[in-house]
Amino acid sequence: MSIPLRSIEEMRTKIDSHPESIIEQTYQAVSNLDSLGRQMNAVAHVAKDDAIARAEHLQDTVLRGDVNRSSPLLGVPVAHKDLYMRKGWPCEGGSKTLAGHYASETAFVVNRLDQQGAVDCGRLTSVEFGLGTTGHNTYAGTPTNPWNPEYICGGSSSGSGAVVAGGIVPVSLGTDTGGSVRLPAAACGLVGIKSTHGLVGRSGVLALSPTLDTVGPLTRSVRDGAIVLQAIAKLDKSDYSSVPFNLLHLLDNLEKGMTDLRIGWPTNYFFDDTEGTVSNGIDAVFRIMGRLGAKCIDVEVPGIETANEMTMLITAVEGAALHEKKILEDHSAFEEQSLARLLVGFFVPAHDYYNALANRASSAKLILAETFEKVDAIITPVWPYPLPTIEESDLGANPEATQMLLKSGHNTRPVNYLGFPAVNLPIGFDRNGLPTSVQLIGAPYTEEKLLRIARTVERELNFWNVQPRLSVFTK
Amino acid sequence: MSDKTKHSDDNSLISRFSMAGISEESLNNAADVAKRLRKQACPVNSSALDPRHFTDYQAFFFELSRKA
Repeated sequence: MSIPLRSIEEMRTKIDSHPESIIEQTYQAVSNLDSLGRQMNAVAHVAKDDAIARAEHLQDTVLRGDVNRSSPLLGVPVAHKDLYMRKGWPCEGGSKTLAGHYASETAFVVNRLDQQGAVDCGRLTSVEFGLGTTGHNTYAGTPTNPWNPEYICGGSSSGSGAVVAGGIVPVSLGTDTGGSVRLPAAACGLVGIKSTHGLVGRSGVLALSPTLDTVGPLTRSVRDGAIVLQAIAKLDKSDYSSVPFNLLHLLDNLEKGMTDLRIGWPTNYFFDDTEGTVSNGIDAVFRIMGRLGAKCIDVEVPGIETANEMTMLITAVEGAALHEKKILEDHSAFEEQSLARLLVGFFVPAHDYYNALANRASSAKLILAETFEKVDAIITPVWPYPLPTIEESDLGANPEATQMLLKSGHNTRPVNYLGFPAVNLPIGFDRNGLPTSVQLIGAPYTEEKLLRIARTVERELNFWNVQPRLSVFTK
Repeated sequence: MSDKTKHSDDNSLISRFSMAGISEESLNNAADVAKRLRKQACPVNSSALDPRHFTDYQAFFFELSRKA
């Protein structure tokens, strides 16, 4: 099976010269979702009729000249994690507790993409309510990695990782509460953007932990990620955390290199317990950054040591509060692992939850002053070890996987606690042929700098010169 | 809060969720994980915390977004 890996810009170029390709590209996307997407367990809902109708409408308006053709997403097929509501579409959040549930509203960001001309083609498999890092889901299915179907896609935006890496659509929105955009992006060789707290509106997205949840895209290229982030970053009046901040010059500055930027190698926390092969790969990229003109220095990130546990504590409490009624009514409908994680939240006293939240501002201020005054970004691992297989990371069948999985969010969860932005950038392959990556973390609202660094390194490494062998999925 | 009160809170929670059919083993595991998380997550001296810090976070990000 071969699917041409077209970027958003390549699709737009084709649409500019051949407007009739809007229907053709949409038809390919929904067909591939229905075939390859389902073979990878990555699809929750294919909206074939709605997508084709939308494509026909867009194509007609383009041919009549009734539409603004400058939109970078005009006619581009997209599909999102099954936490994103579209009125009238199924929305189960990867959970049997929501079996047969239909959305009663449309998410703010889905509306934003509609306004930019995107064609929404369906919903993709999620770990139950976004609560898990590996992608395991006995109800909705466990997505298989396009690079090797024995391996996990990471989670919780697991279907998004599989479908974008498989070339079915160029972009999918995921959610990130403790790493759920970055971990699958890293597992599948994608660019994943965890946006600054408040930058992208979240109304109409099923919540896991409202103080930590963020929205962000998974794409194959930095430019595609920037296009989508620019399209969705806007004030959402229905989201209390939303701020009025527009990323107006994200694309303009993307190709400007990084000779004016400083990259920090964290001397504490982030490389603790990281396997040597992982840190060696990141060190090589750090050296490339220096060669490309960035100032590379060591830097401390003070007070970060407890942020991982703070994030887990807050997520457990807020998740427990959101799902208490359903747990009491029918706990057996929950995934065993989700239930175990949610139950923890009931046993955390209010004063500990309060302290975890109250400490957030001072932690963010301290790190902003002590770390991000010295550097524009820090470089860290995402997964601290080579990607595990589906079998070896299955907690249900393999209880000794607990320690390994506890470490999976070691480098991602602290970023959610702080509320800072981060970007996952693929950099190569491990000994098993699975993607490896780096995480770039910056100060709030510095997505432009992070993406500029990522784009400069991406140009150097050309990760997507190698592509997944999707033939293994052909039956 | 004394350890005795904490223990009693845990027992009342275990009893409540047991009545919903959740096994005591699962609930005891959850209580143990919570205890470990609290210990690891909250070495912060809570007496140093100002209640304003709770709302400070959102205000801080609004301020940063204006400056950026």
